[in-house]
Amino acid sequence: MNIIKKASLILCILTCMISCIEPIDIKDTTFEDFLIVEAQLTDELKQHTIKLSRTFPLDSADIVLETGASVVITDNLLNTYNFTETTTGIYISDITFKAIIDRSYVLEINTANGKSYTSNSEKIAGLSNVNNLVAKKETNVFGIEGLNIYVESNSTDNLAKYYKYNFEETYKVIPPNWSGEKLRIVSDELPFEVEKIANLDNNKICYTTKNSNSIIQTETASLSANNVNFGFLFIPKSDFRISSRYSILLKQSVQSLEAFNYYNTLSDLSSSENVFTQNQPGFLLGNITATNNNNDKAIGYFEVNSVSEKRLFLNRDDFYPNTTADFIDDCEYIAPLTTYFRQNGSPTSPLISILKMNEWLYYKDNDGTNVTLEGEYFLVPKVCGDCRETGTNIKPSFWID
Amino acid sequence: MNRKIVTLLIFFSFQAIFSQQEDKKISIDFTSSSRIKAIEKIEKQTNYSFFYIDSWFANEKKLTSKKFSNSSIKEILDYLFDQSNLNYFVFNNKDVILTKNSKIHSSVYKKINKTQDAITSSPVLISIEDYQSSKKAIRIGKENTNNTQKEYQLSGYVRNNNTGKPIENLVILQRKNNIYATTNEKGFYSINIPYGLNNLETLFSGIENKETEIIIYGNGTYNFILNDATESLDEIVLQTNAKKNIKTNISGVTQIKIQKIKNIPLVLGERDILKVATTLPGIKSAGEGVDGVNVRGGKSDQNLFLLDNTVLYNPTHFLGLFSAVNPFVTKDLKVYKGSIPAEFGGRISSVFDIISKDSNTEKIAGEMSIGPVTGNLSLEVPIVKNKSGLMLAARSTYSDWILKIIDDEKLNNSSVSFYDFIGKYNHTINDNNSVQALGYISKDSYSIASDTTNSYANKVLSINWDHKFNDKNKGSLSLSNSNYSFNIDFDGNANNNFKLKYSIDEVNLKLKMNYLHSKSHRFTYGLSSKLYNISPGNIAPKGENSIVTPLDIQEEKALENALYISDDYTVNKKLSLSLGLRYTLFSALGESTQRFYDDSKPKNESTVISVVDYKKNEVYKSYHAFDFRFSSRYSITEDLSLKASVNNSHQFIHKLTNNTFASPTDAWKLSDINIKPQEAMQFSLGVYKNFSDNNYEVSVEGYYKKFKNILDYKVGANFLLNEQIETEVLQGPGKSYGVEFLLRKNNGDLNGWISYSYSRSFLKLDSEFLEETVNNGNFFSTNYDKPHDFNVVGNYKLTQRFSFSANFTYQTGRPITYPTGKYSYQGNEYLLYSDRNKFRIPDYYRLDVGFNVEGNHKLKKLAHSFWSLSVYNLLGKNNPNSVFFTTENGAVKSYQSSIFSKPIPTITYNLKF
Repeated sequence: MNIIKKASLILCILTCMISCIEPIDIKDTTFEDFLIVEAQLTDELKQHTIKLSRTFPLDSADIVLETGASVVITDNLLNTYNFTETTTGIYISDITFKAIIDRSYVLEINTANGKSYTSNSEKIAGLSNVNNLVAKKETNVFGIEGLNIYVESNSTDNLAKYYKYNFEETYKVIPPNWSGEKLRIVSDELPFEVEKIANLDNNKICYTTKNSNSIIQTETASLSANNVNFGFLFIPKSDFRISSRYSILLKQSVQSLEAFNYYNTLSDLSSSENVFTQNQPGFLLGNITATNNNNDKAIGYFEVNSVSEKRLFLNRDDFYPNTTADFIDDCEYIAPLTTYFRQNGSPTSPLISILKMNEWLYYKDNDGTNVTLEGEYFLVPKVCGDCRETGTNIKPSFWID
Repeated sequence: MNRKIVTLLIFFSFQAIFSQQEDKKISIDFTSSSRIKAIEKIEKQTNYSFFYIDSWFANEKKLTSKKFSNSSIKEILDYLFDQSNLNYFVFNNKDVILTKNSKIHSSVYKKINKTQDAITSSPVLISIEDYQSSKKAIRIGKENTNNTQKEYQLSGYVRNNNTGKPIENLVILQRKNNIYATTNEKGFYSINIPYGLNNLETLFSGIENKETEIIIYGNGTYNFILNDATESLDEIVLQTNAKKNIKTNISGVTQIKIQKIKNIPLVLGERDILKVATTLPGIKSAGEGVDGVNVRGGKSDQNLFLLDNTVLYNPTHFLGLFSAVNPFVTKDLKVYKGSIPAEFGGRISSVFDIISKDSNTEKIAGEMSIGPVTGNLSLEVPIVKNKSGLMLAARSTYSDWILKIIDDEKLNNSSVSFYDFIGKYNHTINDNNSVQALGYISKDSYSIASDTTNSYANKVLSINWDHKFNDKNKGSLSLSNSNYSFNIDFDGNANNNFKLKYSIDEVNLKLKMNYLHSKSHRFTYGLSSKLYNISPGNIAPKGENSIVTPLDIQEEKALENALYISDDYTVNKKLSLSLGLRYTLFSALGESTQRFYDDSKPKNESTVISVVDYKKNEVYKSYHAFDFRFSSRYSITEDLSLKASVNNSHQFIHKLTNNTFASPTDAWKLSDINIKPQEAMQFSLGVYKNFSDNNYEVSVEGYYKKFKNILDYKVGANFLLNEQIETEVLQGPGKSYGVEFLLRKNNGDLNGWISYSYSRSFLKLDSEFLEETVNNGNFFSTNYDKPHDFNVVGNYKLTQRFSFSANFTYQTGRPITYPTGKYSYQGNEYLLYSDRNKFRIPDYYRLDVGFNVEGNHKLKKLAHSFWSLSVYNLLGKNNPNSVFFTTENGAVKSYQSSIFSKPIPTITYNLKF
């Protein structure tokens, strides 16, 4: 056995290859200042938005926006669409327009400091519609149960082979410890007094909306038919997002191969699934380049896409009836005394002090189930009783209950 | 042990000399004397006179203290000269003649004494003039000016030093005049050589090639006692080819014999010939735990690894940590990094010529070792005595079952295992014919994440027939097959489980002819025909739920035919040239679908002009290549030479890797319509100097190399299963240059080498299209551009049984593309990367130490054993294997992975029988 122990030590070290990955500090290197262009022109009739910003140092967290630039899109029929800066770094087209199939578009930017950038000529790569969104109960790679949401789209356009997805999730939030009553401080001096009044804050049902920020792509070039059936989002069963009713709006953009590759590479460069399949990092050249300086670079890909949207609603009960999801907080109760008589000195009111902090909410009266809690009322963290902590109580216009 | 055995053997052989002489008994006492003082003391106290040259003892620092009472002169002299390169001969019971570097002299005197009564005066031996004109020449017969024949007969026996048995079929060659003789079954030879100085070489597979200078004045006898090239005793091995670095006219060739590396501490108890190669200048390991080597600024796919003339696609186990060829059966390794002989082709940076041992045809022999990770066993079984033998060797890890025993989930989910097996049969049919057959298989399997299992395997089969037509012509015909395959088995729980299979197979027929035309021309010529079959990938869904579409990437097939001729031309004693030409016709064969792209646009799917289908075996693209190989050597003095070479070569196969380091699952791709062959042209110049009787070697070599069509990738390209590889890769010119220094001490208790190289390697990827341009189209450092490389390898013999070894390696950190800033894009934060390979990872250094304990040194012991203890990475330097950066939850993090961040002690038990 001794030999085995020794040998296993060696092997542990040997197999350390699997686990010997440790964070290191990035040493200071020369910071490079370049322009970032976020520009997507779609076949939606609207005022299109282009965002300009700059690179920022590794140790910084502040995004630097590019202001005072002139931004223009020109099509091959020489129509020009001017963009005007509405807020810092955000440029919106002066008129509503949409990308038209078979027309090509070029983006030109002149920055305030006199540098100019131009994109390659781009056009809509192909057309495709999202047919359906389907949620399926699955167990993922890590053995976690949950819902996998699939997009189904069939296209007869053979050029539509590359897809990128963005989505917007909206979900109903009902705090677990919401109460129809709340406490009002009647007197914060001796004798301390609070009273229960009706909770008229409309804070029981809220809606939280979040946008996707990862790069989600699929392609049909390697598939036998041009049909997308792609699970793009996995939500664990215990995830709070699917605690009651959930909705997702998926936007599918048909990409060109080059744009697809650009985003695919960008995604590869920013994720490390496995040290052994590490990618060669490098400066990722998009389709926008500086016209007057070889050493200056622009980051970003100017895309012209056809887009298609689809919304899905689902209820937890349809998939996991009689179960609950984990709330984002443990929601432990506290029950501070209304009046606390100190041995020396004047009495205080822990309850009133805590209520004044505005971090805790009345849940219910102390039912004596926990002898360590002495006060009259059970209080819970605000997030457990007020849905506005995590969302808005204004029902979105698209929401269908 | 070895030195003693040598001495003993010599005395067994020449016992007769002493038995005929009556030994006087001497009592003498040495206290802290140098040997010269000891000699003087003997001369003073006895009537023995010594003949020697003072300079032999000039730098001697070793002091001796010993008391002899009533001892024979032999015992005293044995003691005195045991640890030296001096030999002695007691003559007429009063004269002691010391000789240097030719322990076998005695036989000459013996024979001459008996048969010819030639030596009546010893001045020949110690004459200063003679000594200077030909230091090590052995004189046969008596110089007699009145009686000069053109030729005299030299005869004698050739015996194996280890077994004492005669060596049959050994060739004794006098190269200058192309005179040969072959030993008969009793090891007897007879050769007529011209009057005067002759340089005799012994040539026999498995036996050291020894050069002996003989000055013949009359008919005489000379016995050769030779060592096995592998099992020979350390000192002798080191002594063989002592002048090879000076004499050979190929620059940039390095030979490593397995015996030499016995004491070098290596990873996990394996003595590894390929790892030793990386301690020599110009050969760099791509990194720790990384596949492959980079030779003189070349990519890791540009090295031709040959196992007995058959290509080995992946010569390493476990991501490069172990060499795939069992060290027990490896006889030697020659690395050609400068001028590559014309007989080799197909790779442009180097040739690693690994030769396996022949089986012992006399008795069963074997070797085994048990270490913490691997077990290894080799057996040599004679089939027909003195004619044929079978060698079998197997090596395996037992890590898998140990991993399963260990109660650790992470380790349970991981697996690391490999094995290799080699079988070789060699049969000497008669004096003119011999055949050999080789079978080799190696397999690795490892699981890095619990859901992916990677495995790879080499399979080699070869048959070789050597035939001697006559004294001037001989040939060798070989047919071989080499197969390399890897599998990726992805078995997650999702519906995208798949199995991927890759395999490359080559069949090679090679004819090599040697023609000894005259004393100054030796021709080697022949042809080679190689058929490649690549099945680049086949992805199959795994399990019922898998939605992965089965995909077969079209197979690749090609024929590489080559003709070559080279001439080793000895212009005169000082100048020799090697001239080689190699013509290669590479034909890419159907069936295949090839895409033609619009030349005015970057290669991508949208720029395909036409797609052409070619029929089976239809030649759809041919490349012609003329390689020329030129090298020369000019001897300025006996031990100082200058070598220059110009070398040009082509390569039709490329390894595709999108990793910053090579991995076993990198696919090989043949040149086709869109992927051009790689090409290299190298100029090198070197100075070689031996001094202190070849005990020290110093060399300085410089080179400049130009490359064409080096394949590199666009950022983030995926090579695995890509039907349009040409749209993912770029080809561009490269250049590399460097200076290499090597200082080697061959003999003595302390031996080893120090190597240093300064070298650079660059690549340029320029195009009129932005997506095909890297770093603005300027030359940039390759991934393997590591300017400084310093190695020290040392062995120190404490006693006959205990030896200590250490090696130290330092390398500049590998270039890396570093993040220089961050940016926000579509709601996420990303890293801004610098230009490609603008920065470097931290420098690499590592110290390993080892301690060997040999078993006792009884001569007639059944088995010889030794323990080796080693500590890898004694300093515990956490050398990064790779550095990478990720964006997690919108924040940038950087990581380094390392393989051996702690000192790793190992103990291995070795047994040889």
